[in-house]
Amino acid sequence: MFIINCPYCGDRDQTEFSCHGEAHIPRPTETAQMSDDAWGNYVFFRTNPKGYHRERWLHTHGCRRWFNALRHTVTDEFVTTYKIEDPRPPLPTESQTSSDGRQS
Amino acid sequence: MANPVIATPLNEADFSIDGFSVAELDYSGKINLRADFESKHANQSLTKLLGIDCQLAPNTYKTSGDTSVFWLGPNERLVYTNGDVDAMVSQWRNKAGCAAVDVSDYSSVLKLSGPKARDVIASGTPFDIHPEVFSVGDCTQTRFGNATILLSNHSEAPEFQIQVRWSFAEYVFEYIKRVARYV
Amino acid sequence: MSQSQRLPDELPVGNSIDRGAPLTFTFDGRQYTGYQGDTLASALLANGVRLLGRSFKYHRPRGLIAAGSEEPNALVQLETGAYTEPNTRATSIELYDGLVAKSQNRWPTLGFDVGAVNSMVARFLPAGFYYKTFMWPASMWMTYEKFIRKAAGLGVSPVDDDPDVYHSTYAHCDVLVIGGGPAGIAAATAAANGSARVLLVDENNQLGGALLGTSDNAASLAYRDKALQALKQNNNVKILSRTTVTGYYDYNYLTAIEKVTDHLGPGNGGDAPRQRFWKIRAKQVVIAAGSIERPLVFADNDRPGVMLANAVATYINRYGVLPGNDVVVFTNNDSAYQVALDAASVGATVTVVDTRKNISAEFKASLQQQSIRLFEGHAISSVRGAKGIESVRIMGLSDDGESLHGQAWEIVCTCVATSGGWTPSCHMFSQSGGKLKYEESIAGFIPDTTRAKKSCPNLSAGSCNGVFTTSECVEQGADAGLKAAAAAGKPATSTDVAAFAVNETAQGAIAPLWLVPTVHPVGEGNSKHFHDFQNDVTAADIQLAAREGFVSVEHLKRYTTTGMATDQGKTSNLNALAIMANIQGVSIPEVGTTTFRPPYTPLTFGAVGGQESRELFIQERKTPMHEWHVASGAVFEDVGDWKRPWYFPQTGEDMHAAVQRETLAVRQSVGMLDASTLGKIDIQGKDAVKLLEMVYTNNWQKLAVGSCRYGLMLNEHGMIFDDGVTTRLGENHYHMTTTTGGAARVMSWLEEWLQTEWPEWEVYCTSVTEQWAVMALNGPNARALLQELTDIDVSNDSFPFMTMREGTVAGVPARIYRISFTGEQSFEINVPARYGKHLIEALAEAGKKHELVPYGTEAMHILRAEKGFIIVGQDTDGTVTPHDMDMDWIVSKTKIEYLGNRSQQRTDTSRDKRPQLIGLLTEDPTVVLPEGAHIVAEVHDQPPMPTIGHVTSSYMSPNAGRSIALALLQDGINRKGDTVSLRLMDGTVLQALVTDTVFVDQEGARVRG
Repeated sequence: MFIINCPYCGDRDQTEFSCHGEAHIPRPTETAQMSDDAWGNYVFFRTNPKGYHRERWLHTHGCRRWFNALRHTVTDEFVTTYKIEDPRPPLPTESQTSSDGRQS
Repeated sequence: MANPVIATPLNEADFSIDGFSVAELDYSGKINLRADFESKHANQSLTKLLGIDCQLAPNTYKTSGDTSVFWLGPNERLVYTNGDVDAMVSQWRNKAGCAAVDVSDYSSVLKLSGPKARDVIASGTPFDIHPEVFSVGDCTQTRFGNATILLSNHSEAPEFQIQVRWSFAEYVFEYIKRVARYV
Repeated sequence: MSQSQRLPDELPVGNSIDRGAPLTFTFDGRQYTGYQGDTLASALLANGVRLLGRSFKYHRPRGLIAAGSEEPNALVQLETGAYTEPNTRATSIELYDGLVAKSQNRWPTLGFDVGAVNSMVARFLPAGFYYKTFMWPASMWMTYEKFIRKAAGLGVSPVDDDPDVYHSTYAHCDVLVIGGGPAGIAAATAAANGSARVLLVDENNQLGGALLGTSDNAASLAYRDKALQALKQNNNVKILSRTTVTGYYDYNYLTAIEKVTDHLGPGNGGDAPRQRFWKIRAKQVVIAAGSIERPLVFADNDRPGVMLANAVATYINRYGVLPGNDVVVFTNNDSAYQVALDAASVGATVTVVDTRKNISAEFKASLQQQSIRLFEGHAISSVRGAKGIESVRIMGLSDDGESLHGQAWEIVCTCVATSGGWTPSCHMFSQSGGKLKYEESIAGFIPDTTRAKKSCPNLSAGSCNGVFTTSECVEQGADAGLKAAAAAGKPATSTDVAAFAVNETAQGAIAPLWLVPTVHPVGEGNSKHFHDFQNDVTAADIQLAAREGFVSVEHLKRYTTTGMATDQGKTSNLNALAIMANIQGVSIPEVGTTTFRPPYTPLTFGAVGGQESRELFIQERKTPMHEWHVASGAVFEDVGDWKRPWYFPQTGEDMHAAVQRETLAVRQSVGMLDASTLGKIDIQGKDAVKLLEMVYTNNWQKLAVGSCRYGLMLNEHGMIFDDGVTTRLGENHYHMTTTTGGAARVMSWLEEWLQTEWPEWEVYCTSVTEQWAVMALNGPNARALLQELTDIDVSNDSFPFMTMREGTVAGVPARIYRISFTGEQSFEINVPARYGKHLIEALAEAGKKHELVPYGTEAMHILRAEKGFIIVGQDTDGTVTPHDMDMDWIVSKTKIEYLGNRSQQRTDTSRDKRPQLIGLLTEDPTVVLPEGAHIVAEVHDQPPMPTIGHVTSSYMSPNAGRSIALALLQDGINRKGDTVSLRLMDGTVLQALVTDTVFVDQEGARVRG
């Protein structure tokens, strides 16, 4: 059961939130000109990394704001959370956290 | 025609047990306000309208007279007022970049008091309400059982308020009554 | 038999019991007496009851092994009827007057158990036996399973409703201390010396841990009491006894079960809950969970009377019970020496058998003082006595521990106190995601702090961390408490923990002996070497598993079942790993450890649910008119969380009759429906129309103020997602409605797009679902009825279809939307929720002369189906496009961008012969098709048959005068006029005509009239 840092409200229990999948998937413009493949890629395909993942979360039972999180999908470590308009934070280097998430 | 019957979600029910009381409060007008509160212009007009500076710290509320303003989100406030809601809503709605909605009937407001109040609330919410992290003047939206609530701290006595959507009011009230016997 | 093993009052033992408060209890139908403060285990032992159960697989007679929650054998069925609870450990049950318990896993009686024949056929019941024997042929598993389930398992689950109540609650602290022994008390004391909020949790009814079982009792308890008193005076400290931490999860989220009133007996708890489930969030955790003694694995080491050495001491010192008058202490380390001394000091005849040689002169002297005989370098080779130990045979042990030699001595005894060393309780650390490391000096695993999980900051202290003397535990606890408080940001300046030591012989120089040899090779002959008592697993099973290639420790666990179930390997884990290591010729750390799983001890489902049971299991949402519906005899339907009136039966009516009457009345006079549950969203801002243009498939630019429009929402897959009517209230102000079930989903959907994709747009959405109470008036008399109550001119000319008017209804402010979900003249009256009850009462009163009928959701469904109006989620299922619904009319041909637009042209969504919505009329008009029935392309006698569609909605329509149905049928629009076949579950085949979806008022005149 995570503690998630809402960029607006601070640390909160996971049960106040819902996860809405991969972040930074902008809706294409000029969709009419898109190929089936390109559109299909936007609609259906997401990365599913074992490791760091940028995700979109909603503070459902709180301020109802969407925000992004950088989470490690194996260790569930939240490296950071950031507002939608904030730039993407860099990925931590693997030396900081080993792949099984244990302190080295 | 006879005067219309005005109902509250819980018909102003109350419940008391040794060390704890809960009661539904009578209506006050409620307005949901949306604006860029960081902008000076928006904030000034609202301050003029309500007499309260709406630039609140996150998860706090301010009270002046019979008007309170709660922080709900970076661009969202909730006003409790005994003033003329219709007039306030239409004044506000016509200001550029702002939105106002009368939500007076949207929810029920419960007052919880007595030494066991913290334990009652802790039974349903994962949010830490210890005075050192949630003091008088603080408010937060969180979860109570399966309901979303607006919880605010009104007195060290202690006294809290829980605002909950009309349709969830009975659930939350029954939940509170049940756990009050157990804590 | 009256407490024959209870030690006399004169002896300075029995600190936990109150001899002035005798209690009566029943075990296996026989009445016994114990004392307040006893556990069921200590009381039974006091009464000389040694046989407490039969083992899981071989039905071997079993007695007590331990004195705490690590007890693997003495699982009893506690209480009867609705209060009964299986698999409770006799060692954890506090005795109360009138307690009733039964032994488990025996038939017909404990003394004579038919299942014990398993023991005789044991050579045919090896590890993996069930997997090997009953898995083939697969079809027979159903047959085998019944017998296996009956033969296996332990206690019996209660079948009645649980009469108890439970409470669950959240708790937050800076430092959680798990375990109230010397280390835990010291940790809490140190941590609380600053301003940290400390929670100290212990599973026993009193704190003290190992201090409770020592012979150095008075000093130990005085030390404990002083420390606890100081803690209790600190408002930042909360102490929970009778509370076991059962699970340790991510981000220091821990769960614990508090046995609030279990010790009072069933029904005696008053208003208090039986148990409380704690959901704890701790900034830092100090694990001071102690350690568990290991049994030595010798031949037939499961005979009743063979116990852990510390358990013998605990029964003597804490409960004043001597487990046997003749005690053999069998050990490979120092800790059991104090046990030997304790037993001798209360009058037992004691013999010490130590696998080690060269015992110190100091130990020898103290044994001699108590006339205790010592055999150095010896081991138990066999035991006598099946239902209770009668004697042991000992022989010399070779230096390598592999064989026995020399003369065999037979020692008469009724109790064997065995110690194979101490296993630090690493369950919590392991559950938190930490890895263990093997510590040679103590022959055990301890937490490897370098491999702790980052998100679970914790420290281990005391014997769970591999230090075994009381003074070291206190020191380490204080240090951990101090560090934890500092790490939580609430540093304490000094620890304030007094040093403390007791007379004890800690583990000392252990000589690991994982498997005690016997005169036969292990696994041959009749004797068994058990390492896991609860799961009935022997050393021979591990050998077999190794031979068959199950060498991975995780495979070994599952194949042999060692360390599983409620026991979680408390006494067995290390012995199993070591035996495996030995077989493979590798070191113990090379074998590795399995992961400990929550819960640490079993817990009741009731407690986990807590107060969220029965009416509070799922929130029941109610509209402002709910009371009126109840008073009017409504039968309710669950729609999402909402309670909606399903139908309003009159006296003598069944559901069908009521629904048919309501459905007819709406088209003949007027009906009213509570439509308050529909989602409502207030949308404001200069870019509001841009939002509508994006989320709906049709055009919104030209909608006039005061007008309403139906809209369909698609997701980006191009599939129908929700629908509803949106009304333009002002220049930049709209009122959107959604389906009842879709309200929250749509609100989130709008916000997600606005916040993440179009943040620069000036649009604000606010849920107003509960701000408005809504009554829908439908039917030819609707206008006449409404006109009586409103100041709005509701004539067709001034209030046309698909417009909205504001005014008053029944004297209260209202917005009326002239929209229709029935195809009738229809007005949806919205009033502030506070007036909802007033509105429905006013309508009911004024409606009398208009033959107003309240109707529920079932009639609503029929009425809309008669008109071919879809219900999103019933006629659609997330794979259906507007074209599939024959709703091309609502998809803009001119608009370029809207959500789901591009998906309409995908090859799959635009292909021919997709399932499309059509109407179905059965050949026999009285037959109502079951919803979900399949339309088949060819009819065969037996499935499979190629399916080409299915029924989505089906009703008896009183207005059409026959049954009607909506269905999704491949290429359905082109098949209108065809007859299709439907095959039902029972094999019946029905014919139906494919038709248009509108069954009543095809011209649509009524709605505009």
